[in-house]
Amino acid sequence: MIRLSKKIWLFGFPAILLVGLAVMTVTFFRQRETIAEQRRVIEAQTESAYRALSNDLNDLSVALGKLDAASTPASLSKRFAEIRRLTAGATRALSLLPVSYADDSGLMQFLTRTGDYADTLMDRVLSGQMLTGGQLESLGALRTCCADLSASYDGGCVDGSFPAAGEDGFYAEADEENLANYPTLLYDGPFSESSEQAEPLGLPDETVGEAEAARIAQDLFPDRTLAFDGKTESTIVTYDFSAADEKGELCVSITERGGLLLYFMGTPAGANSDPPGDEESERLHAAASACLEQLGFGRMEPSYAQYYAGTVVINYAAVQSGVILYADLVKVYVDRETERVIGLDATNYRFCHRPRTFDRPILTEADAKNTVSDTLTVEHTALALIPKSRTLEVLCYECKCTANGTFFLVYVNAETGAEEEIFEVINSEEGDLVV
Amino acid sequence: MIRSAVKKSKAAILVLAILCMLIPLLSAEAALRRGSTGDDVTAVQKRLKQWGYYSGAVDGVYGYATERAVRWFQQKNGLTVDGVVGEKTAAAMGLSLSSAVSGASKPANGDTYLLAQCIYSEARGEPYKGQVAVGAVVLNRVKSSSFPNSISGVIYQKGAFSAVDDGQINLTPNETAIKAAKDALNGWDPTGGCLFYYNPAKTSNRWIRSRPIVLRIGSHVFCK
Repeated sequence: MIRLSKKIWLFGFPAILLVGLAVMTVTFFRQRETIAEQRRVIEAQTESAYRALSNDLNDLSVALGKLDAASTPASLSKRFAEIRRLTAGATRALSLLPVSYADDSGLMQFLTRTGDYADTLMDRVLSGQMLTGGQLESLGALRTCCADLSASYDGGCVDGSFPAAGEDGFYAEADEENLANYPTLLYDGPFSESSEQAEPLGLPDETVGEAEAARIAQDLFPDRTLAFDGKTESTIVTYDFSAADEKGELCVSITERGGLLLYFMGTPAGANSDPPGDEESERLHAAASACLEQLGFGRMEPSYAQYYAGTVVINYAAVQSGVILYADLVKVYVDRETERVIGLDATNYRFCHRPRTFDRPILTEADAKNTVSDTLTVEHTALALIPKSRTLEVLCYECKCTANGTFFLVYVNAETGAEEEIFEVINSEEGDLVV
Repeated sequence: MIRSAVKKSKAAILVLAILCMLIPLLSAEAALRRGSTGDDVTAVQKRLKQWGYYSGAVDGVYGYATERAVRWFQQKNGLTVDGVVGEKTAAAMGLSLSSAVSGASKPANGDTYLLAQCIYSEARGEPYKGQVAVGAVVLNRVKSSSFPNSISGVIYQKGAFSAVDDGQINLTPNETAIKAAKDALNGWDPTGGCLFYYNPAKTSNRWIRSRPIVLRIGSHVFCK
């Protein structure tokens, strides 16, 4: 037995150790191979994105060049559509590259605005207008810039010398001097400089201090004890207050300019998310309308509503002389359980609301109906001012239409007859979704 | 009889020893334990170090010090103390290991769910307003010319959110995060248009700290 025991100790355990060592070695190499494989996959994806960006920049430069040769609206529109497609592809590729925000935000902005600019010019061309000298000059500057960018990215693709990522996984930071000078584009579009730097138009110039703002907020909610949270130093400067008690959390923001309510948001009592019946819906709308009236908002028109997490959110737009002002939007949150208003967001209203002057529509209501597709049945029309960007609004006929049980909102330009927007209204379990 | 028993027990020890050595190989994908290596281990070490349980090197190697720290963490958090980072321990750390934490089936509500995942992974524990604010920052980026113009493009942009880097983005969001996502998508922006946020206690990045501060909510500072 002792001999056997010694044999086991002499041969058994070294054998175990050898097996263990072999297992650990296999595990080590397997994991190393897995890591290396994952790294290669990431590198391949990065190189693919780099090549896609390079190709899109090259094609973009060519597409911008072809504009010089295009003379008909159809041909110009085709080129602009191509530019839009290429800039979208290039921004997608750029977002996949390991480039820091500080390095790529300029190029991202250049690509987004070039696409946005192409959209704007396509609209212009399709409405029968010619490109101006300034616009042609801007397109020339875009082409030159694009050609330079394309050349700088092309090198890596030709000889495979892609930028190497640093230890942090990012490409090295670019020198300030090497950053491209992107041309400035003057136009109205959702991503234009003028739109992104727009100032609020619905606030008076006189300002209120913290104490006055606190009084205004407290007067709105006399049964809650509000505490000052701080100031939001944004485009709309606000004093922010909050309360947290047995009634839940409540946040209130009062604007510095004018001491007006920007938003308040409370906690719903329940969690009902089912669509309400007609009677309940009527009561919820009545509560929201009464609240708006009490808070001094002028005439407001309810549009679509959504139901989730115990609340109904009803969108109201201001109305002036029978024209719906869709930019001047207020969202009212009503608690389904208590049927009381627990939240209100007037950010868009405060940003945009001011008296508008309208030209008499050139098109009649009948003209607008006639421009809508024959496949649609127009159920209702109304005049509406719709925002194309933060700085551009267009007077339209809003045509509520149906086609085979599907609801559409078609906005026909009241001056030119152009279809400015088409939305589909989807009646989902969470309410009306306008897409 | 006794000899036979001794033989059997030695054979059992042998088999057990082999099994013990095979375990890391057999279950390498299921949990993290002594001998594990890789990014998941790095994430665990980072988290333990951040919370003061671990003082060793963040090297992606699950050694004795890491195991001791995991045991300490498990003891403090009422978990089974076994030194292994399995499903429950990973969840308690707020981590989603490559396959250790099984994700609940995701409903197909696309952008809302992804935004809720981002909010939950980046701002759970923050006040409700702060959670909506994180969602609003994502949406402000979508509307900005300087960022990709889709929610997925913004969230998965390289280096944009630490939750994507450490895998927490794959955690299942709770109801609060889903409501916060819906409120943000509905237009509530408590940040007034901010494009960035950070936790001053956890960030040393000089560039982000140089941005003008717009407001603070909870532990986050928001800026443009």
